[in-house]
Amino acid sequence: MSIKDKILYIDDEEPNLTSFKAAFRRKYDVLLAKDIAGGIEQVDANPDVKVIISDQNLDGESGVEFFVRIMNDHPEPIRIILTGFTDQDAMTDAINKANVYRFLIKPWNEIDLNKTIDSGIELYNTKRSFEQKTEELETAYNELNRFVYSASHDMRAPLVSVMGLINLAKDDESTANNTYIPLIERSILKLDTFVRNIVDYYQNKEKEKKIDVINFEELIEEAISSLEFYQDLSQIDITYSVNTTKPVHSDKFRIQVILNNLISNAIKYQREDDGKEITISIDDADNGCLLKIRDNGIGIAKEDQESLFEMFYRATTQNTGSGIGLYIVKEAVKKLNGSIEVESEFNEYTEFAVFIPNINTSNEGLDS
Amino acid sequence: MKVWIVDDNEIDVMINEKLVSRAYPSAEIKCFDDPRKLLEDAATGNLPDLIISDLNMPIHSGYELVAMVREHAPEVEFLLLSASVQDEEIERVKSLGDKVSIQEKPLNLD
Repeated sequence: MSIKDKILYIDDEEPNLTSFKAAFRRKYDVLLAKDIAGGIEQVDANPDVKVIISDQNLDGESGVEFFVRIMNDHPEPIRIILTGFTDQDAMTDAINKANVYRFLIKPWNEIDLNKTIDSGIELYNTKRSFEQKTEELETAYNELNRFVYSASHDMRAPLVSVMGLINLAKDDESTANNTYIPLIERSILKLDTFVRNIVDYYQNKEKEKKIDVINFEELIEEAISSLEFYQDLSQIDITYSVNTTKPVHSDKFRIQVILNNLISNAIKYQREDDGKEITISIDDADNGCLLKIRDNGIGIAKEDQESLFEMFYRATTQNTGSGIGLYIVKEAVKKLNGSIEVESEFNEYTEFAVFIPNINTSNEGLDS
Repeated sequence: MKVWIVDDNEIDVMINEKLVSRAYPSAEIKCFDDPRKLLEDAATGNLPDLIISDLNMPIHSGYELVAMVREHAPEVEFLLLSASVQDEEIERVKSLGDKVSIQEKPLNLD
């Protein structure tokens, strides 16, 4: 036998309480109260009550008042008010204030009341089920994030061992000329970049923003020198100019992610000819700054430009991307409340423009 | 110069040893794959100038090693290595004074 749903009926008139209970006690677990104090006592003792039906007229008190009183501590039960015909106008305002689900006119009709209680219970059950599912989903999502992070983080350990061994092999006379070594190195570096990207993605999602004045020169220099380790920059002319006249306040980590990925792409997707160039510029913008990275490389075809920022989307078979870099850039830009656009001519040039707004520490609570 | 190297990953120990001996051919190098063994040796009073240590080791982390060695021998220098170094780690190492530094693997002695 299943447990009956709990409902609470509040009425100041004894005969009403009796007849209500008689009518509904078979179907539900009926709780009764005759005033606000009694009602509160019942709800506190039975927080799992699903529907509360209250007479509006409670001998000097009102049903709406009762519902407003229990709003904070007991937001879940579905609220129904029984009201006299003449009170209807007062009801509309009360319904909003007290979050009342339905109101019924007295004297109550058993069939209507029954139907109303039933739909109230259905609503309660649906809400609970939804809340539980949402909670489960959030937990699963967090676990997945943590798993991805741990997996990637742990993957770096053997990776760096291999990178160390490759460096040794390159310096060791007996293996320095082995043609397989540079090929192994390329694959390993590609894997390493991918793993780092995954870790960056997770950190971008989870890490608290730390707002500081951004030193763009420093970050650009760092990005270029760390990329030198991975790619041959000798053929590429990289220039940058920081033209902002006001300090920019933002999160350093995410700006690094944006710079590293965009500069890395500019390096990777060059054409075969000479005269490879990358220009980086930072200029003032309305309450922020505009970062532009332009290369004269292979460009991006119009039809690819729309899907460019999707995870794992690759617009070219040239080279070595994993397809996750721009996705992460987009996510990082989102975190900074900025925007990113791309302009490109196939086989001519590509330019990414990122608007980075100033983040005041005072409105840091508004997180995205 | 006396250098000790400790890492629970034997390959990394080997790599670091080779790098150190190439950079400092006259250095006296000792290797450990277990921080406890390093501590045992340290207890005999016979300490190196520099300890190159992995950060994430089972039993004792690099940080713990720094604290334990410094109790008796504060003059020993430490170079901590980690597969990935976050800002928090850089800050933490800074707070340990200028005898302790941190690098992301692979080790670079340039």
